Amino acid sequence: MAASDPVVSPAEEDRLKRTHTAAIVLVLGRSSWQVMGAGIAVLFFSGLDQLAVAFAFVGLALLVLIGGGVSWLAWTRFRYGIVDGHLIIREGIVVHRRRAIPIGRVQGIDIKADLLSRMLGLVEVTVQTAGGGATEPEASIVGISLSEAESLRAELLHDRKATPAVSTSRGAAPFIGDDAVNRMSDVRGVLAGPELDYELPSFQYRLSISRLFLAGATSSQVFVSFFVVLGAVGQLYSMAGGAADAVTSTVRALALPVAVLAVVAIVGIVIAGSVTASVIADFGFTSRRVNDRIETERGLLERRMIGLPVRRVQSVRIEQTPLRRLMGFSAIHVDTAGFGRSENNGRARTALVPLARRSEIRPLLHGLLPELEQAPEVKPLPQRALRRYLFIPALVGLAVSAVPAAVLQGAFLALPLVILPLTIMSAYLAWRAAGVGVDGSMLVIRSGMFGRTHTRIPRSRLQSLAIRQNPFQKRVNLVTLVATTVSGSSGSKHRTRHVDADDAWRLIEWLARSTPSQESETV
Amino acid sequence: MNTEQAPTNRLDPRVKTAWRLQSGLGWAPIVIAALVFLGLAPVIGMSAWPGVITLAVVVSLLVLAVTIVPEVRYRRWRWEVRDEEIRLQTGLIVLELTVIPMVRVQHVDTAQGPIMRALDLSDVHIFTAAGEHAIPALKEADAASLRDRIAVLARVTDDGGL
Repeated sequence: MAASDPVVSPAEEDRLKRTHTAAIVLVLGRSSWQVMGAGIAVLFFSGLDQLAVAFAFVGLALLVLIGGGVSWLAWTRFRYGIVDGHLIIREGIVVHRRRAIPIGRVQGIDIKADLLSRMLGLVEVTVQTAGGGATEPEASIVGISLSEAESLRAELLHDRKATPAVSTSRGAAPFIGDDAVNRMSDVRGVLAGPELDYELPSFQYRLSISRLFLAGATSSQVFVSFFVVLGAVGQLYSMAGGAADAVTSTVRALALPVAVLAVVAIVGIVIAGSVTASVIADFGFTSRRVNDRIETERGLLERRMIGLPVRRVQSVRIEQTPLRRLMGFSAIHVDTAGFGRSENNGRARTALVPLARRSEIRPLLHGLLPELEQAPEVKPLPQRALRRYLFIPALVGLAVSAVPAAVLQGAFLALPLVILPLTIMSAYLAWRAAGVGVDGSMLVIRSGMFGRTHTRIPRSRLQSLAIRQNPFQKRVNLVTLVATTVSGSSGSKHRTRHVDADDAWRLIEWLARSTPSQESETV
Repeated sequence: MNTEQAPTNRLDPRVKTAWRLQSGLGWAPIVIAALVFLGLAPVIGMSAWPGVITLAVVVSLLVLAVTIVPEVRYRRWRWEVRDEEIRLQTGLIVLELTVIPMVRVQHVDTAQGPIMRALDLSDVHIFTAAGEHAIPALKEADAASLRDRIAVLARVTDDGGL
């Protein structure tokens, strides 16, 4: 192969490595789950007659054989390694492909292990590059041992400044003991290899079991599924109610408690389901600060480890869902730039702390991300802004409810009395939640309605700041403030309506005053 | 908005011509479609009223877009390139002022479409990591020198922020 490929020197050939042999099983296993699923579905629908079963088995065996052959071929072709400051990845059965990623362009390393991989003790490594994701796929290496992955990460992430491993093992890292969570979070299976001595994190945070369940129970997901179920049930009930018109009222009276119980049960099951999903995803959540990067780790079945350089962090969001706000809890997320990670429509948001009390936020940020721990005080919007907040929602609410009321009469006459207070209340809450604050080199923007989101943006991460003023706002000296940051591969706008114009101008001057020397003090 | 703070420079007055041509060409297909419909309506036995109404609405909008709108936009468009920031002010009814710190500018280029080329005008596009801003319609030579000036200022203060 090397002879036909002039680019690859014999020296490189020697220095490249294969993935673990068990990677064949891993790749095959992943693809055959789907095939088996399809096979079982076919069997089920064919009514399990003997001929179909026989066909299915032969077909399945063939597919597994072919699949095994293909994954074996892919494995024999795959080579990776670090040669002359480049991460080299060679792959491809038909089309041979050689990628060379300069180490300097590597921004982060994600390590992932699904259930099968964890049983084997193998992991998948994904290399995040600057500007990657949008233009080129991220490089990924499937099926190497965890210690192999960790040493690769150490080499790729400029850990050359770090002193070669002090003889303290990972077990001695702060806050981590040999508890059940720790054992269940361990990715090391049969083939993991020895534990490496590697850099100690300067700070480590672990989500406790009780907080894990609380986070699941108070997530917005629970809220959404609750209302979805309620809506669906309501829909069903009204349909059933229409059909049951002929049935006598006694039967309906009996059916009502049963229906109520059924609704309660369904809602309960759905909520339990969404809590369980969240618990499985966030199990053993850990985040730590190691040198100039943040690492997070989570998952009960599939374990994901994300590494992100602090340099890439653009803003911090402290989020309170309505339920969490009542209980005094928040979650901390960071938005990063330039990663291909396509969570949330290209926005690269990573959870740093899934659930923390208000008093814990500052110490946690101090440990994990001291660059963004500064918390400017939020200045609420002026009283006169309330009128602008109320005006349009009230108008729309009135129009939306008055038309059906006028046309349909009857009970619909009460519609404005219901809708108008609702729109006015939500506008009032939005006004009370909104606010902007600045302190030294940090901007904070608060928004929400029942919940709250605080977005902290360092001045050095503010891409632009705009103020807008319409004629109505001009009369009362208010403006709309738009701060633009980067999230993922695109811009992200943070809009605050009806800010005092003088305050907004001070912000413009604050941004314009920033000089390069001031920049270096910040992130 | 605070008028003392407004950026100092205007666009080239010929931008009004460019905008007029652009909106004229943009509306042309609808005008043509409406005219064709008017011509065909009696033949296929349909009422001509939808065509008449469309034409009336489009033509009145077109008149607005060609007369008042470019004038107001031109009067409101201001820009200023300072050592440490770029300020742009735009607007028709809602006035918007944008400040881009020079350190955030990643690259800058000039571009011109066919209309702009015919008028010897050029746009300056300013790119940050979060997107694009433009100063439309400067004289070609001015645009080129502004582009180079921004490039120099942006490079001098480059902190590799991203």
